[in-house]
Amino acid sequence: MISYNVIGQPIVRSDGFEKVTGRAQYTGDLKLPGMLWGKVLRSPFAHARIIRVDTSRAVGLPGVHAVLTGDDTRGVRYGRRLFDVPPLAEERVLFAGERVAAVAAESMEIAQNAIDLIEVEYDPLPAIADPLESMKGDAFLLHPDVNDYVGLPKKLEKVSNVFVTNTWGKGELDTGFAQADHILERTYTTPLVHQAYLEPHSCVVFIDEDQRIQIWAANKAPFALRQQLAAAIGVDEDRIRLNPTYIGGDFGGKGSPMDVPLVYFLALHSKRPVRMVMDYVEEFTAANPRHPSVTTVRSGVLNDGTLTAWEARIIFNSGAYGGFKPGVNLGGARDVAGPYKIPHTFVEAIQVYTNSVPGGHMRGPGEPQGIFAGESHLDEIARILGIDPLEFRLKNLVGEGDVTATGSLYRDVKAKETLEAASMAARYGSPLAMNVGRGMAMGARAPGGGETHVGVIFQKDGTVVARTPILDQGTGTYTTVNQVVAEELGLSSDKVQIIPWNTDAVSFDTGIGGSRGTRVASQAAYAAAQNAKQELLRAASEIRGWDPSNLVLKDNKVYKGNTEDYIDFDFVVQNCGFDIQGTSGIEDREQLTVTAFCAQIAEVAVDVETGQIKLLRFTSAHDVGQVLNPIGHQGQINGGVVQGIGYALMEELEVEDGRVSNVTFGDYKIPTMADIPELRTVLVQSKNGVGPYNIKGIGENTNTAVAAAIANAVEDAIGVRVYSLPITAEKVLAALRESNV
Amino acid sequence: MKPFEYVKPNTLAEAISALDAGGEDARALSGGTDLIVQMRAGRNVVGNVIDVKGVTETNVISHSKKDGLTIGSSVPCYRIYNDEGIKKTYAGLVDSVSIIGGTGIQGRASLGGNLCNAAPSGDGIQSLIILGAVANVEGPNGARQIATEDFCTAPGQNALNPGELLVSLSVPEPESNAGAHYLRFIPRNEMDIAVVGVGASVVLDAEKKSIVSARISLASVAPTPLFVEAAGDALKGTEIASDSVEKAAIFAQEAARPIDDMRGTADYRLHLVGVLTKRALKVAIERAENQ
Repeated sequence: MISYNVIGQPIVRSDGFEKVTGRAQYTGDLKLPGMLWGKVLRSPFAHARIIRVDTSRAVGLPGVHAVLTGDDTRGVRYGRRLFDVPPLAEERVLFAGERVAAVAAESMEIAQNAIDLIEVEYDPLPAIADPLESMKGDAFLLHPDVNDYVGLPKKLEKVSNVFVTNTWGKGELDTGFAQADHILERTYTTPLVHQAYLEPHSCVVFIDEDQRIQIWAANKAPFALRQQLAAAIGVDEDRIRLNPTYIGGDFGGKGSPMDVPLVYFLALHSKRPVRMVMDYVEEFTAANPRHPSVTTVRSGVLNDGTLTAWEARIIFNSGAYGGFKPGVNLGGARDVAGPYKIPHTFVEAIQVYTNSVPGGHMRGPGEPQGIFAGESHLDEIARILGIDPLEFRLKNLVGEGDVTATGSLYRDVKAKETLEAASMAARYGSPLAMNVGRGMAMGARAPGGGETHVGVIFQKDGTVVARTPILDQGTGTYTTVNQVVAEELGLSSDKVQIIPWNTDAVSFDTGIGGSRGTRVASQAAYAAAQNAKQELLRAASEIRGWDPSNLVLKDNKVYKGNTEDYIDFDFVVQNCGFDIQGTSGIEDREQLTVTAFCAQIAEVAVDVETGQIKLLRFTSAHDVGQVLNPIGHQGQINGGVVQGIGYALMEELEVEDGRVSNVTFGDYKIPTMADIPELRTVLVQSKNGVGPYNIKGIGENTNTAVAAAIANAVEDAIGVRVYSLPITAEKVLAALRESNV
Repeated sequence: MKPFEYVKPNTLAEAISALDAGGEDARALSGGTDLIVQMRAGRNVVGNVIDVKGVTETNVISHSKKDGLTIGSSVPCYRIYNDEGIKKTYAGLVDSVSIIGGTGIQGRASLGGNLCNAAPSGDGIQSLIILGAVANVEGPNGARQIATEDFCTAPGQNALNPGELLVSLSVPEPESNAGAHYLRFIPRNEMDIAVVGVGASVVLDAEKKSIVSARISLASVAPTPLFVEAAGDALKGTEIASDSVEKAAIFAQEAARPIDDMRGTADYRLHLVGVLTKRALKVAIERAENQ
């Protein structure tokens, strides 16, 4: 291993001090002169025709500066890629929580009072909450004009509520099933769950004296938001500026324009800056939670445990709109087939419109749904064949040179090593008490690609400022940039300060997501630091008249070759007569040939009288490259596992008559510390990674396999399987009773 | 939150007079962990908030063999479960006040408030009922006592008349060879609302072989906390080694009238009533045996 001074060290978060002291500014903290509060009136019906909206009393309320209805934004549609979301509903509302009218007023109280004065007359219509119903040929169409929408990947031959389909696979399914000794078909369901970030969606929009649209938003992809908004409202991108702000948690959910287009219209009509902050009831009922899914897996296997065929269909309930996902579909669905050598496969993922809250991205979009189904299914096959699930996986996992079920080929494949490391740490195979069981599951994920820029500027006081258009949504990308710059310039991390750029400063940045932050940002920071270093050496050589090709930067000094002759670098910065800086733009969108495996093992005890699951131990093994910061890395593992535990055991936005019924954190359960068992982490070191330090991603892999590992542990403990998340005590008890019939 | 009047009286007389003046529109405030949340969510519109935390009588904890335990209605949970005398003598009360909310909530939330809020799921209420506690109430027309099992009249509704204040709770000194326990079922391990809760208390005979008397109370299976006299009576005079605990559990299930809601189905709740009643009784009997 290469030895580093700052890389790999447990450096304190560069944003930590500001955050714990309350100095960090979030969008909701921003105060602009004359700023108004925006509020929204939302539909109580899952599906209804809007007969009449009477805003006259709200308009007349003192302190109200704008009241808008669908007439004021008619025809505008927006989204991340598929533009199907209206800022305000026009003829119909398609889900309970949809925006019907909006107000901008001098205080939040006045805005709320104005909202209460708006009268809407609805004609309630039948609603479809179930995607299976919505797929039927005789179902009414939520979006009859879907073929006219901007961003629809492929025109539909016949317009239906199924608006996008993706497939993966190889070989011939019929051949694979014909070879099989056993064929197993099962269906799995996963619920609607919320990302549960601390900061709700918030934004401020201000049209300034120069008619520039100034925006601050809890959105981790500001350049994409600029494109999306410009296209939706028909202005040049140059007119829009996204200003940097801290983002209070994301977990995938902070990439949508959400209320920004609507607040733009409020700012336009009121001629004032307008701030809008969702409350958490609005978050639960009308943001962009993780898609519910219904997945059917059919597999073929030989008596000796060799998989021959794998067919899976994932139906994602998109909710009323498809605009909150950048790929229109969720690519993680393909992971239902996993890192296994299966010759004949076919995976299909479809998105279906229903009258419910629109789905968005959440930590490994599509993967937790797919992996719950796929890894539950694998375990059941192993148990039917009487093969230990560990042996069964080891037999079928890819090794060097093997192609995965959906056709990916990786190098330096550590799948088996990772699973074996997890098994060792979990003491898999050691005796267990009555009604206690162990279960495992695997995931794999390569970091995504993208584009970003970094600037490194030497300061006269001997410190360095690093500029980046990335908005750190809590995962520690600023600390990554800090460490890379400090490492390459031979500085300690406290000498590097991160100052984000707004969207005017550089041409583009993909934004945080897909575990790309570390991959893309570390390369850009590395290149910028190298460029800055060359500039520094050039300046030093000019001051001293040294040969620039033979200078060494070390301990805040520039040395002449290997001699003791040096010049302090702050002296260079102060005396060279120009700014010493380096910039870089990195565009790395390559499909990677390295991936990162994750193997997790849960140990559970089941109370067979109540069905309650107690998680006793959890082991998470990860195939890693160079870990840039062990604190941040472990934090991603801990947080991902906890989020996975919530998904496995308790989280679900319950929908009754089309309305989300558990709209507070009292009723929407997420794990507390008391629910978290002992966590064992194992890192399997790989020499292969991406970029100058050989890194891999860690942000998403940690939460995708947890639920399947727990479901498999439950079956190991008590011999029954639960096919739907969350695995509540009531479902376990029902499964136990069914097995005893 | 809608605007409201706030007063903080210093004496019991002032508190009652303020409550009386406020009439139907007035509510007493102690910890506020229910009231303020309800007012902010618009579920409880209150015009006059009378903060009774400044009243001496609502802050008392007193304990003697002769008079039993008196707990002022504003006493927060943490003071109850940190009190050495209560821990020793009233374990069945500590069971519930130590699981209401989380640590932060327990620093504010009062047992009196838990009773007045009259939620069917109120953990503290079950302990009061099984321990035979009485609510001491004062109002413009004088003082009266209400048995805690009669205090809650409907979800969120209690037996207090306008102008009346719950001043304190009196819990009798347990008889010798007595034990009590409260437990609940929740989907996670803390900070949650009972899907079902069961409180049980027993008094054993001198030989600790038979049950002299028993009381059982159920949470979250009826519009109010549910005192199941029949289940207790079924245990009277039976030997602890017999199947009487199973019989009591069946009585408890027969009395329960659960509904389906987001926390669980009625069927599952009925099942839990049976399981938890047996578990609560088992611990109550063990505690009595160890007296």
